[in-house]
Amino acid sequence: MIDLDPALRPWVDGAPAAWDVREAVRVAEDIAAVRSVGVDWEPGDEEWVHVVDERILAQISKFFPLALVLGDDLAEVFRSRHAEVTTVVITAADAEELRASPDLLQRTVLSAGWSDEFNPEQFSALDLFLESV
Amino acid sequence: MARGRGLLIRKALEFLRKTVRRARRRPAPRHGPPKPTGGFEARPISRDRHGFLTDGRYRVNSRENLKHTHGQALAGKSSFYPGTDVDRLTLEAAQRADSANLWNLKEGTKARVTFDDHIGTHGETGRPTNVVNVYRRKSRTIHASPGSPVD
Repeated sequence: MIDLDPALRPWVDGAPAAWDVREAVRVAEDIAAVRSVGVDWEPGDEEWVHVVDERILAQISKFFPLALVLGDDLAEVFRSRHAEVTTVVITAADAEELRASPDLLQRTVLSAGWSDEFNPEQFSALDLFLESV
Repeated sequence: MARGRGLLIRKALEFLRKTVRRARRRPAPRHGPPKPTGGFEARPISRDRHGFLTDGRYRVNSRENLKHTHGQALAGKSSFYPGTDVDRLTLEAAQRADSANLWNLKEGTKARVTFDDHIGTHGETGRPTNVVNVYRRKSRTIHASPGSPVD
């Protein structure tokens, strides 16, 4: 199980001023260009930007400099090119391998709360994405 | 007297103009979902024993849909037009996505389904949209939001 608390805790009082949706998209597009893959996101309701090939390779928050990244190799690309982004390595976007304290989730990436289907003790990157829409 | 009548007529005309402008801005209430573009084989829709709307394959998460339901939508979020049966529209969008193979990527989490009429307002731009984004979980529960409009 991957604990997201250390990644979320620095932002309980708000995101860094320099981070916004444009930054998230810029980082996603840069990573996508390096890997010759695409970016999938939609302005408006979706709160995460995806770097994709046939699957989701990275999921970047619009509100916090946080990226959930598939594998160490890609995480290293993030670290070398975008050190301001906190990376958390996952094995698959739909792998239910993440956990976080409800209080931290509520104060950061799931400020609108979550549905009965979401379990803070075991969820996937995609669950975070789906709960935010 | 004639001057007073002229003023009255001007005011009446202005009132009419405002009423027409308001009517044009406000979409007509819906009592049923619009139809997706193109044909598809619809599965019958019913409620399961827990009260969830279902077509036997998917089950609608009504609570998630509330985020985009007129009058209850969260600030800044896209919302469906008043009177839209959002849960039913969600199921029809999912069925259409199945039929036309619209689910994206390997994970198949999301589909953009285009309808033949505007279904709501896009939160980011405030523009009317005829796109429904439908989202599905591994558990096959689904919810939807108005997507960014097709130009």
